[in-house]
Amino acid sequence: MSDGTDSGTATADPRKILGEYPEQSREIIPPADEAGEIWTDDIDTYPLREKSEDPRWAVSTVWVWVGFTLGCMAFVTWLLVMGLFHD
Amino acid sequence: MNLELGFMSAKGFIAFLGLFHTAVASLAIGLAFMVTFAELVGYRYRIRRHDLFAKRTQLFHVCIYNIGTINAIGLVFALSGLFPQFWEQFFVHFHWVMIVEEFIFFLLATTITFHYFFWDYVWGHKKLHLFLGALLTPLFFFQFYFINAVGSFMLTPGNFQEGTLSLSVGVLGWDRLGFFNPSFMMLQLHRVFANISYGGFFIAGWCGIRLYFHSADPVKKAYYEDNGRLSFYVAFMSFLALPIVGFFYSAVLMRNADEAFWNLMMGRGDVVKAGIDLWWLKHLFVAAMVGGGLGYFSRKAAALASGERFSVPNALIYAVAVFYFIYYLCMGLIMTWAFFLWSLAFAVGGYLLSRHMVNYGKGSSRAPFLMMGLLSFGTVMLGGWSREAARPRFDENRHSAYDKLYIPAERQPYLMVDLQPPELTDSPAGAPVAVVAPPNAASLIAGRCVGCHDLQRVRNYRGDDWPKVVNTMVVYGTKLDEEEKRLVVEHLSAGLSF
Repeated sequence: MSDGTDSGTATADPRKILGEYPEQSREIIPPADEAGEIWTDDIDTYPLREKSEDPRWAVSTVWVWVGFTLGCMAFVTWLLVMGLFHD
Repeated sequence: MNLELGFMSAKGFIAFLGLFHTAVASLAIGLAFMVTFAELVGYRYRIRRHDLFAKRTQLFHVCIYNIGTINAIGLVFALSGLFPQFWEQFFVHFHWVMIVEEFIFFLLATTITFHYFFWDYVWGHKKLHLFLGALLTPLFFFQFYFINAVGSFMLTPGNFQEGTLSLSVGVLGWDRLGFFNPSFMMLQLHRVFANISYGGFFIAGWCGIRLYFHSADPVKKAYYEDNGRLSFYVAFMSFLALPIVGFFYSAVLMRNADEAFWNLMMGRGDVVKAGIDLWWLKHLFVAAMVGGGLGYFSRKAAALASGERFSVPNALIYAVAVFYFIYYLCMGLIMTWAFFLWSLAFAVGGYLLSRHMVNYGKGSSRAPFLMMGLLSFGTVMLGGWSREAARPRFDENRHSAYDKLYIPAERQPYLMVDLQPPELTDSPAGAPVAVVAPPNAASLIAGRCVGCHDLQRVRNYRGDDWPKVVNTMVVYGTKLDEEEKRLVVEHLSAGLSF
């Protein structure tokens, strides 16, 4: 698993030759052979954490969406049931 | 000038788009269940590799959901242009159903996206995240609950009451055309289990491919073996329901849609026009899958000894085998014993091949995973094509009202269109022109037909089966009593003006 740093030489790195990417961006670009993979270094640990460590905006967004979706499903179900009596 | 593309007819083009949609949409439904299940198992047993697998599968799911949606829009565009009469009637009668369907599409797309992109933000609220993912399966159930109502209506038209188009009846009534159609619930149930099975086998097949590339890496090997097995088990268990539902589905079709039933059973209609009996071939694929699954599970005892966590109870495995055997036996009784014997041969072949593959791979499941994934994909494609081809509306000799269409002036002049079709520029041979018509029949036509389309459509129709067309229109909601219907048919058959 790569640590994300560029260990290649200057002449072997096309990004450096082309000069298209600033240094900061280059550090987070994974090597090509790992692109698209979502592997972690520690696959044996299940990373649960305290609730307070989750960003509040993220938790709020999920709660709002869950509530909205449940409401919509209830409404559609109500329409289906009412259809039994109004058809 | 003729721009018709001879290699692909309108039906062929629709079939291509429809099959592509079947491949992607069915997979999306199956993946929704698999993602939830894998994430839940990962949480329950605190196994990271299942959670990681669920997350990566959800990323794939987000991608194919977008592809499927865009394809569906293309399908609507193509149907609107190539089968305008059919599509217009479809939208008029299922207007509210399709509006709700679209809204559920919106809910699904957003929920899938939120579920994936919030994965690592809410590790402290894992149960909430699990619940968000668990909403996907009932949402998908709703989504194809509606589309299946429409689909079953198209498969078994005629056995319903007239629909009307008010807010109270159109929305609340949900149109008896679809939801009280006899084949609706069987189609719905069959798709629920078939899609879960397809999604599971597809992902197991993907794990099989990856195992070929990562057999030397113990971490990745364990990852793909474990997750492939999890998917395989879910898929095979879902297989259990299919012969039961399939039997009742066949029975419902036989009672209520004998044309579609015999098209399927005897390989008539477009199924035979394709040159191969694809529906039979699909069942041979299914038989090979049943055998392949049984062959895979026959190594269960040894696998459990080696520490595999998940297994399927023997009773369920045997139940799958027995139910499929009974189903194919029934098919042999209805059709021909050759069908039964070929199915049996494919099942035994699949069983032996699967066992051989596991032994050849020194215990690795990669080859059976891949085989079942490919067979599952083939089954969905062949089944989807046969189902579409068996529909009466796709056979010229059965529902001609859909196929003898005029070419509307506003039609896009590409793909299949003769830009100056002679039937539009010449009067039909022998048709009387400008004969004075009985006023009541002409006014009926002018007053009632325009509820759904303009009169030019009626004038441009070149078929002579007016009784059938007018009956179809009445079924679709045109208000005509028996006497009025007789007058209209006589008027139109005589070629009188209106």
